[in-house]
Amino acid sequence: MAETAGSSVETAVTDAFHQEWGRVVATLIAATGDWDLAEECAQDAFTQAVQRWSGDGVPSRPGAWLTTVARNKAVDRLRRRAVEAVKLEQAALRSPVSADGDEDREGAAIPDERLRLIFTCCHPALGIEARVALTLRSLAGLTTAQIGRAFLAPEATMAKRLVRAKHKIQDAGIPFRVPPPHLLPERLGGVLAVLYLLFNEGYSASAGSDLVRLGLTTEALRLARIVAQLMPDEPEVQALLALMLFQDSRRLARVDAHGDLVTLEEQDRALWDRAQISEAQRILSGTPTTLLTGPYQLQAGIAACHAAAQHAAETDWAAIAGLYGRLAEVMPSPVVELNRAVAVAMAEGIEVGLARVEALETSGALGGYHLLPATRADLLRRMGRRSEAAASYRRALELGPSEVERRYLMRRLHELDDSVTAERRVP
Amino acid sequence: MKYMLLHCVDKDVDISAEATAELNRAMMAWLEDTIPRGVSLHGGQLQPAETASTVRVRGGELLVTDGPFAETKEQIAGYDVIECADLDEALELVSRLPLRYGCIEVRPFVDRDQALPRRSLEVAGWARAIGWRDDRLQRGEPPSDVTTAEPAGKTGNKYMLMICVAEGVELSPEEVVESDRRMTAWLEDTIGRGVNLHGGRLRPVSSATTVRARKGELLVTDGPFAETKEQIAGYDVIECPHLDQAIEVASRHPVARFGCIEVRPFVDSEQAMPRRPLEVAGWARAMAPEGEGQGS
Repeated sequence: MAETAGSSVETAVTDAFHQEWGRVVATLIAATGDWDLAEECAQDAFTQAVQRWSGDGVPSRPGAWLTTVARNKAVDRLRRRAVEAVKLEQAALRSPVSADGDEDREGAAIPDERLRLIFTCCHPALGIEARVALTLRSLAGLTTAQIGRAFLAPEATMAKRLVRAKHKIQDAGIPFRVPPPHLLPERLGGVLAVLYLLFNEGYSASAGSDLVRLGLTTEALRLARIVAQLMPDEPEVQALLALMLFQDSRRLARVDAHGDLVTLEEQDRALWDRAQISEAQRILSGTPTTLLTGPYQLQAGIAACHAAAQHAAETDWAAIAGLYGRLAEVMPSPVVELNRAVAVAMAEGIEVGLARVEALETSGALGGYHLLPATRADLLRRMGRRSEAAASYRRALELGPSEVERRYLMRRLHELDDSVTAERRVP
Repeated sequence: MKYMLLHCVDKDVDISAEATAELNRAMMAWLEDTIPRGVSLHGGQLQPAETASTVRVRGGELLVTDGPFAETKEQIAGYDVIECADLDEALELVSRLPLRYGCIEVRPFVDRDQALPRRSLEVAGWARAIGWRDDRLQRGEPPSDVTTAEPAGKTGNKYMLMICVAEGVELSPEEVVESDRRMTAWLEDTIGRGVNLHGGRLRPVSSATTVRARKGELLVTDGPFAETKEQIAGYDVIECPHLDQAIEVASRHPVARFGCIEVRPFVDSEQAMPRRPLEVAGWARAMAPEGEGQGS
């Protein structure tokens, strides 16, 4: 193997970390049933990689090298725990293999256990926060401190949450497995919900100020790719990956130089990441819009309609309104109805959409949700009903929007106030 | 794994006679499936929470209060002990139980030796657990005074003792030794007299999972059925002629000195019997008075 420069070894270790951490941890949990041991040994293997690869060169199959080293370390540790001699037998670990010799052959024999890992991390008997933290720790390899920063929680709190989740898995007997077919649709829904939550945590973070949170988007995409690759026949998994790619493609366009939110309508579409859009389109290409069924397929379908429009004015709002209609059937929710009302407003006329928004207001289902008055305000603004629009923007501001949203609403309000004042000035 | 299922019912919900009949049918179908498979070991239905008494001993003084250990919206209405491979299997079993009027908390026992019958030949488990040195017990034979004890089944009432401890209560090492010593003495005494039928220690509440059904959908959540200061750490089923004696038995339980013990009567003395295919008569009678579904 060729001598490798220090920086490229560093890159190789970083790449291997992103690609292999979850696989190494999953393999060790499958073999030993011990989550802490798995993490410690995976950590040791990567530490050893940094030392060894700069001298010996990067192995041809870094994943297999790391798995073998980590497994040997696990065997050592279990041996040292004399009292756990029985466990060693139960774990049925094969005898240690030389990390330098047979790693290729050995690597080929190791099944990918990451699906078992993610289904266990996202088990419904764990709290949602624990599911998120555990997925990031054991599958994506984020440190406890990094997860804490991403979720604005002290490291100690996050550490406690992780310990508690691992204890529960052990004590309550949560199985390390991919659920059987009759449980799969529901459990898969749980896994996808965690990945989408991660993505949105990152996506809703504002640029610059919140780099750790922005990183969650990358982690979510990476994890979604793994699940999509391991479950190629699940349309909802493929659709979630496409949906994330469509949304992430607008990353540069959705915030301006001042960090202010730019609406889809006003975005500079030249800034959209064409490579991500094409990839998402390729993923969805098998399914015509009319045949999309699951919630993620329908949401990806909607995102695909936006991505297909060269200019905002070319958006196929009728198709989008239709997709929202079907989404409301499979996933009834007032938030979906609110988005549907906007699409209907654009497709059939603002007043038709406004009537739907007002019906939602009457129902009281979204009381206290700032996007309800904000949406109403935008529709009224489009109709030229300025003072009513201004009142609705003010109402939205009272309901505690995020900082980025607050700046957007203020800008809209100032524009209206200026024009209202201008109107008054003209007798 | 062995799990305790705590059936909880919303105390504000009035269940019609019709709904009760339907619940009983659902329960019956569940038992018919789970007993022959050896999954469902025993269980029972309790009298409503208003019948509960809670026992504490503080500074050597016995304090009995009327009512359950915690005034929660949902109250424990019964229990089942099941044995299965893992939590998923337990949740599958729970999903087929009536869940519409409350919830079920699923709590693992500390080990498989828990919740075994304490009067039969199966005493080895608890004897090991408490370190009983009696050779006959090690061989699986009952102690002589158990066999001579008066069979309490005909005249006795059954009571559930819910052993509750506040989270974060920590005993000093000496207190632990003392508590264990008292525990052994309590078990020796109550089992020896044929009062204590079975019982077991549960894993901490952090291992609990609660299952609800709302609008036809199953909701699984992490944690106990109610976030109360004191949480159930174990149970004992005792058989006594009346409540005063049940309270007396509870007051001598070591946990009464730093936690509390809720004493709750079962609906009848057929409850909480071991469920073996040959012993189905009890629950069959209890569930279907007209005699359908009798066991052999």
